Amino acid sequence: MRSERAPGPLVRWLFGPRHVARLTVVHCLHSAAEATFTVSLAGSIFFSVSPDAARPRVLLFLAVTLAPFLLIAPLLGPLVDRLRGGLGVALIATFVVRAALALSLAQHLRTLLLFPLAFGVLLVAKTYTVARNAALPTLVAARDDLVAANARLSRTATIVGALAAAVAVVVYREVSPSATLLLAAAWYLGGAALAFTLRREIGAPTMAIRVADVELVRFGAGDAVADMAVLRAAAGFAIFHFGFALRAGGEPAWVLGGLLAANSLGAFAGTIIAPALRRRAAERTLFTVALAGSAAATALSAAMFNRVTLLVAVGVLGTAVSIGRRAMDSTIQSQAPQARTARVYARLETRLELIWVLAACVAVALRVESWIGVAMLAAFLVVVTVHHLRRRVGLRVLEPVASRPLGERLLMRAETLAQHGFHDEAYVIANEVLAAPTMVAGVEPLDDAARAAIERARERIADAFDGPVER
Amino acid sequence: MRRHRTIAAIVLSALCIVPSACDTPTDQPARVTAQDAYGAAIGTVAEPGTADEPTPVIVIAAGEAAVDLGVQIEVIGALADRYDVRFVDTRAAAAQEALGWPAPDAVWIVAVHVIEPGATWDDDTDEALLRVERRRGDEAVTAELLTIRRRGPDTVVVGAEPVEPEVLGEI
Repeated sequence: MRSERAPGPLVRWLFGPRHVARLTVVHCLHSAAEATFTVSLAGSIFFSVSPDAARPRVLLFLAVTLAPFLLIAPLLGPLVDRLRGGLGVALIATFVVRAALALSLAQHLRTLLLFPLAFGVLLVAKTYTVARNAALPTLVAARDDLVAANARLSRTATIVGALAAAVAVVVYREVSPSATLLLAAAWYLGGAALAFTLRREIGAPTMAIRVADVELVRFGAGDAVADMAVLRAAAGFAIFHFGFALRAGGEPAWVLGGLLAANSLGAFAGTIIAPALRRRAAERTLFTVALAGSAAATALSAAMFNRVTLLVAVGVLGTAVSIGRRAMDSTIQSQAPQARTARVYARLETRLELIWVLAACVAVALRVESWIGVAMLAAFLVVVTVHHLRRRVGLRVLEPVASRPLGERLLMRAETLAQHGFHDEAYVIANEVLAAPTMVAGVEPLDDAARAAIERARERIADAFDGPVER
Repeated sequence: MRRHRTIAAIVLSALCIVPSACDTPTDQPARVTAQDAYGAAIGTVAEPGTADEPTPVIVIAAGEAAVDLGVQIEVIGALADRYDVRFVDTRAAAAQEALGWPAPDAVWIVAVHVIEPGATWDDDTDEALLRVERRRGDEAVTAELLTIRRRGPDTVVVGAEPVEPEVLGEI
């Protein structure tokens, strides 16, 4: 009789319970391949041509990257819904396509084809991220912690990615950049083979999608997604801005490599810091720490610009994005449990990736020096952080949600329902609220302010319905 | 019916023959292209290295416009077995880039005038004139007006006239 040995604590820390361990290994192979691919680009033509000449081409390909995402966003959800194992197939496809692109790029590292091929890999990698993040909630058992699962996935993949990058550097120096790409292709094919064994385990969503949509625009979840979008935009801007600005300033390739390493190190630190922070504070605090930390680090770098402060700023930004990711997962888990479905996650991830690409487009289009870019990034993050704090403090001290009149809260709910197509429910709620106007105003008897509040509420509902609501 | 088919066959044959006739080589000499001109200029102003130890050359475009990306890639590829060519946008970037090399004093910094891809300068002589400036380490800047011409399959520099440096003097 064969007895199965329980995995040790280190294996559990790295790979988690059995049902997610295989996805963790798939993600590690992705991470190894991406790290190897990135190292190989150091030998590409990108570091030999002038940034001003490359800029329009990169902008064009970023736009080309953006266009498929605009197509994918509405299509991915229904695809996930209708195809059994659709996410699994998507995962396999992302590995196979990237392997083919890497093999092709090995022949064209120093030709104009570098640009379409490299951006092809970027696009497919983004699609992988969407598919993987959508697949994870379907693999994680209901009792499991989605936040911990996601953190573990990132943590283990970062370790594997760092090791793979070290191997890739050796291959790059001792053999050639093209050989490094062949190694990347081998990692991708390994990922495809393992993803193939996963495809039947990744389930399809079973919960009501509309309910999940409504949950996602609730106060907590909606704010979490918005804060995460800010951090993703900052990350997309930073990578492309420094990619060009440092090269334009004549900085050697190792400085850019150092920034990428600092970002990865920061992301790894985030996977350890976030759970510790979460044990002591709410998700909103995690976002506050992430936004304030990245704003402070970039502001410091802008004020005292040099390689060290820049490395610190990019490292802190990596940590902030990682903490934000954990905080968003945690918020969705606690406030929008229905949104754990693959379809909703896929749409959410697609939106976040789009924001990343848009910010990258802005960074490429701007021809500014490194320190000006850092200053712009700092200004953006400071403004967002102040807005975040104002909302947070204001909501807690000045305008607690619970202190709003019941009628107004019900009208907000009706608006949300109407925006998401639940017109019948929204209509009933709105009519009931408007039938009892004192409930809307929260005062008795009705004064001018109360009448104005009722009128505003009626207009808001009418806007949501695209027509007047009569009592 | 048969006559129509015969006419159609003649027309089709003519359509096939005309482009072939146009493709026939003429006595016109091949023109100097931008990438050939830059390649010949770099080959003249900087000593070549080997495939294992290519000579580092940083190229700056004199003026506002950058050298076309496709041309840059052609030049880098054509000279790869003798030169490690990098294009930059500004003089400051060239100086910074040179410092990043293991031996900055061995790095050639070359400023060239921008040529539109595929351009030929002088239709009468089929010669290209390209103003080039160069410096290495602490050496003085030299500037020349190069005359470049096609000779068989190669593009060669057939004349060099010293001129006053305008671009690299301030690095």
